[in-house]
Amino acid sequence: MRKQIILWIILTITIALTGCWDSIEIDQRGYVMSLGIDKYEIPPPGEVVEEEDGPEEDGDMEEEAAVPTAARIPEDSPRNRFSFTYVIPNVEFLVGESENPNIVYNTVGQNLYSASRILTTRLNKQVFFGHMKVLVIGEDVARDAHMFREILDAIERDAFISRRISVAIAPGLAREVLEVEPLVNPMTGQFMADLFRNKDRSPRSGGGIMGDVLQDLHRWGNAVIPRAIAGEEDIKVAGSAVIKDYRLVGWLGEVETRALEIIRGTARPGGLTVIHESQDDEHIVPVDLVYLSSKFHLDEDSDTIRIKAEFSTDGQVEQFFFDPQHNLLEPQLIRELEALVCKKLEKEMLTTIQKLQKEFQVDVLGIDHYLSKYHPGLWAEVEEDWQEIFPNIEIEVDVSTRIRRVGLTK
Amino acid sequence: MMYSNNDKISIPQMVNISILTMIGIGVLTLPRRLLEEAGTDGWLVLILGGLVGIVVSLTHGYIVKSFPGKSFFQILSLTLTRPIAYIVAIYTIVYFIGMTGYVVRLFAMIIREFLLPRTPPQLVIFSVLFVSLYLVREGIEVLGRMAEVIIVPLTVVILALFIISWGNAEVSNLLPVFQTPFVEIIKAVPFALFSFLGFEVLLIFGGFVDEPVKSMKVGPIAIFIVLLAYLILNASTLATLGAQQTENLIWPLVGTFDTIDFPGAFIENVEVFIMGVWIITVFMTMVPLHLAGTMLIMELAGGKEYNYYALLPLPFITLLSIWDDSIADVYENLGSFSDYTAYGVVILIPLGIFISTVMKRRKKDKAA
Repeated sequence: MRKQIILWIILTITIALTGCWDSIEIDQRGYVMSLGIDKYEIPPPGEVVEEEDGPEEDGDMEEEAAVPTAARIPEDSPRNRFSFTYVIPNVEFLVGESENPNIVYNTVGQNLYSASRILTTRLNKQVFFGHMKVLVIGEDVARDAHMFREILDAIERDAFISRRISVAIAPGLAREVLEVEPLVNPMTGQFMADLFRNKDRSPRSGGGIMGDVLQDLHRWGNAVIPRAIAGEEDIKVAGSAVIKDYRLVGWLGEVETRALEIIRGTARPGGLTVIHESQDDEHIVPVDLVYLSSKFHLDEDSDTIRIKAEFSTDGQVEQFFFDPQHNLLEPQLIRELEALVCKKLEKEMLTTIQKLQKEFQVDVLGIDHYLSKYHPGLWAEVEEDWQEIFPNIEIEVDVSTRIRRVGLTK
Repeated sequence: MMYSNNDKISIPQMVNISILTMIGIGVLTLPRRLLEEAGTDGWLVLILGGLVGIVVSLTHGYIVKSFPGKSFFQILSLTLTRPIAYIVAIYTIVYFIGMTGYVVRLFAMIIREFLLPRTPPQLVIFSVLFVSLYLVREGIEVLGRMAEVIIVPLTVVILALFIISWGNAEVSNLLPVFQTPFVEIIKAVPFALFSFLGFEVLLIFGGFVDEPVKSMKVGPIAIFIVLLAYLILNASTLATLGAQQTENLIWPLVGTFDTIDFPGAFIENVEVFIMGVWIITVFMTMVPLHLAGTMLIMELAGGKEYNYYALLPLPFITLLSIWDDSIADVYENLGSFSDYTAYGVVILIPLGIFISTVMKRRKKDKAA
């Protein structure tokens, strides 16, 4: 009998007390959906001053929120190196009790950890990064290798920040990107996350998955990261930032990014448009393409390093011309279109390669990775000086396109 | 029968216990350690280490087979004379208790890092030790059944998780192969052998095996299965994270599962699953070690009941598990601790017993 009672007491206690330890109610947490990181600079006198301790709300709240007595310019002391922007979805907006979809906090600090801890002096919630989706890094931080590496480590070291978050670099300030309230979905964090996860996403920006970027950076310190541009009422993720030795060295445009993604073998499906000229007519032909494969070959006979890059794509004609003279069931026409697509792609790729070799002198094409895997002997010789060797290697590109489908009409 | 309150375990149960003892804390760091030792040729090191492990475990099996139904201490007394047997037994106890201590420490640390960041580690240590105590008190037979029950669902879940993680894998990350000089690979073999530590529990539990004749099978089968598991694990981690990144993560295996994006995203963090599975495997590493230590202590003291003797190592385990300051110290000291003890327990002592057995047998043959 006594044993039974003890057993029951233990059972009740174990069931009843489960999870009470350190429990935090859901509304007590500030779920940071996206985080922006900028280099802190003293605002030039005359502009609206952002204050260190007062609450800083999103764009249109700014003036009301500024408490004049608390307003002071944060000093440019070594402590204030970064400016962090936290976007927290407003739970009250979801249930219709508030006008503001986002709670945007801005704080200045020496590092992510202490800034986030100090944030709790003016936020009644616990800052929680476990559900963070997007990290936007400002150009100034990315241009400073030291600061950039600090941030990368803080993000990678944290056990609660997933490796699947998306990362983008903003020309200018990351804060400006995160303060936009997009028309489609004013919850900025969610909008950006969806932008990155869109299945139909164009190849005009890289994947931007944190884990992949970290993998590239760990390798030889070079990577490409998507670019996020702030508009009036939308945010655009297109183009990419080129990172060399953990430092932003320049930007690639949208077309260049597509070429780069194809070369790296990570391009998502997406098309391009060619102009088809016959004797008497000129047609604009958009072609939808699936990028099937990307392969490098080292020409072993050559004395210098010669890389031959082969790509194959599959396509579908999306538009031709109403009642055309030659129809698309003529194999000859298809061959011509294929040749045009190949030519255009090859030209874009060569321009991009040229830019990377001559202007940035950085190998983000993945040739280093290819050599280290398939030609480890050669790689051991060139690894040390790859930065100098890469601009001078020969790269040939060879695209083969197969247009498989033409749609419903001839 | 040696102990009145405990019966027998079958050969398959013994195999399961060995497998579960081997797989434990090491798996989380294994891909990184292999890279540090031999680059992308780590798999070669693993295979060589596994082969050496199989050879060593054959001597263990031979010893158990030669002394059916005898406990480890009895075997020691018979082969190495009584005074030496005491010293060796105490040394072995230090090994088992020390290992349990380190397993518990790493367990508490990793739990704190990934699952319970605000719970005091002491609480985690105490609670897991009490659960371990509960199982150890019941003795070897219950452990054998537990191992048998747990191993099938565990395998299924682990395999499923790995297969999901292959979605992000890039197989060419496993390249290049055969680039590490042969000498380096040979140098790394002791490390690989250490990642198979745990099969030595056969020495202690061998006396309970119901068919000692077959005990030479236990080690090779168990090590072969663990080797397969390690190879899959190492390849998955490398392919998903890439060599350079794997080398930078303290626990790369967990990082592998962090890259999984579940369709529909009804689960935010798949890591939590792998941590759940891992807790069970660590528990099943802890318990056999704890039980082995307990058994030896009990025999030295001449006791008969696990109930009380299982409590005896707890203060030492707890002390050891809170001894080191930082994670860096833990891994450093675990390395030197196993250098000083594991070689002795796993290789030297069995070798001593083996040689003495063979010599005695020769004498007997001559006399006959």
